[in-house]
Amino acid sequence: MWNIKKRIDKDPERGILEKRAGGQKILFGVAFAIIFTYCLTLLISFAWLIMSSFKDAMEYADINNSAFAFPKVWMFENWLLVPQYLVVESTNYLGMLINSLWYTVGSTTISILCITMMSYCLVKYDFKLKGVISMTIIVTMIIPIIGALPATYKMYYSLHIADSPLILIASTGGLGFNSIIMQGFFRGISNSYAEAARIDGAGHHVIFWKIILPQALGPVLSLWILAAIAKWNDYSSPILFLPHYPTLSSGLYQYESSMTRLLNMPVYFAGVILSALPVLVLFILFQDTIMNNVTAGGLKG
Amino acid sequence: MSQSKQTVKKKKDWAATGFLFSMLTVQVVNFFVFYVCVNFESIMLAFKLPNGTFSLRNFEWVFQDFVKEDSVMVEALINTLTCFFVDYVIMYMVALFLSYFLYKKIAGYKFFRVMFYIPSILSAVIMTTIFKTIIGPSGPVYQMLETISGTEPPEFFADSRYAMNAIIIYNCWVGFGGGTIILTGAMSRIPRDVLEAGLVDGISPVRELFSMIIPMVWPTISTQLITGLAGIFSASGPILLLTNGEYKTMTISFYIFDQVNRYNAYNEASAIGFIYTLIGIPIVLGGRWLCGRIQEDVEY
Repeated sequence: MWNIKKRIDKDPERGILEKRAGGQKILFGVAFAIIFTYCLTLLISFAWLIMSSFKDAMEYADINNSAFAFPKVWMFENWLLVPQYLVVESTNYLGMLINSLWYTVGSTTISILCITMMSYCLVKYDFKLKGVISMTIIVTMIIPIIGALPATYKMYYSLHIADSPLILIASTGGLGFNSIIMQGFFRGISNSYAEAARIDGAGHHVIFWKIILPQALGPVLSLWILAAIAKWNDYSSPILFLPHYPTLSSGLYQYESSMTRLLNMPVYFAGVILSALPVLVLFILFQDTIMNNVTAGGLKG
Repeated sequence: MSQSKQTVKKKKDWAATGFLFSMLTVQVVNFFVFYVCVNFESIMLAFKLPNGTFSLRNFEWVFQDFVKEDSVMVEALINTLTCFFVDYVIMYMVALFLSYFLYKKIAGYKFFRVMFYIPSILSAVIMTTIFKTIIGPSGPVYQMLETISGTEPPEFFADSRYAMNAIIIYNCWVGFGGGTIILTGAMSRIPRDVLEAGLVDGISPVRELFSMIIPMVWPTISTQLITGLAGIFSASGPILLLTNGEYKTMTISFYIFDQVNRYNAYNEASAIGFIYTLIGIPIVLGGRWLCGRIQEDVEY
């Protein structure tokens, strides 16, 4: 599946499907103009944010200055001010970064590992609860439950896992699309390695951890990256469940909303851009893996 | 012989059972606590007063609010449905057309594909910061409008007339190309010779899209439509980051979030959730049935 996708992508020839006659050329020209304009709005916005992060706070705040003008003085120190400036309650920028890291890596790893373990069992083993679990996965995906937030909030606080790293316990959710994708993957891998290992006397655990998991590393990694990006960017859960452990997303929001008048916008911009760097690096490094996985997710079953 | 085989099998079963137990217990317990118990508690909260006594007062409150003038409930419902309509119906159609052009390798399609992805991997905190400041008084869009119109433009996120529209425009801006990623992937798996045969017969791009491509990627589309439909009452935008629910921008999901976050009030919010879940289930099941009826699975 991944290979086929790659081959088509890399296919340099533009066949009959990509040849366009007169009328179609106009249609494609219009579409190009629209798409290009859209991309331009994104690029200009990003460039504008980066440029503004180098402005002096007063210069930026003065609405008589043109928003398009380059900074009069390039304030490179804005970026150095980020760690000491952006403080929420008693957590500074570095603290928020650390919170983001353990929250993201911890919950994503636990979640994806549990999903992988469960999907493997559902595909390669027969047991009594199998049908019930498979059904539950589908049903919970379809039923749109709204407003479980208050009960979740009460539950987390009554179990004393809220506002502490213990919150990670609650991130095992093995339900949903990721589970369907992993089940599809396990259905596709052959049993021969596992059987060979079993004949050599390997136990179930050895087979899973040493033989199956290494084979599943590709899809596991892409699911991990996608889930990690979502966790890194999640601001509402940390606001509710980790009030004293602000992550970069929730912390920057709290900082911005609490400091409206005294806010040094350029420094805040620098902090915002810095907070996006890990995600951008992950995206650049694993672009192909992510895109291929997402497209595979569209596959039926 | 058969007896010894059975013993071996039994032994194996014990090992397998132990293995399954160690692999699944954590998840099953978690599901029970954080899904079954949470949802049970949610229903209980809906039928209780803050002091713990059973009552239908929460539902009474909600329905009373619906018939009130300047009702927050009506505002939230209308905004939610508008968000849903724009995000899932209109933007999905946009995504279909965009995917067609990307699939047909429009000039620069590789670059566009990456650009489409970027807004969805950057956090809402970043995207809203950009959007808010760009249309705010120090931003380029605001200043451009000022130059063109000669008067001071309104503050879009601090004016009841514009705030909700500004949020919807934000959603479109961020979600413009996001839907294309899965669709172009599905389209790229269509065998080329099928479409080539169509082209040889001289069909137009419109017919190519509607009579060939869409039917062939229907399994992907219908899956997305069903999961999308499940979001009908949770459609929203980053309300917290843009307006904090003020200026007539309340949505159902933000209302529930706000009740918990700002007021530590659980009961009325749970009742609202209960009502919309009850309405939502038949809608999703109906949509599922309808998607199945439109077309059976295609095989190629």
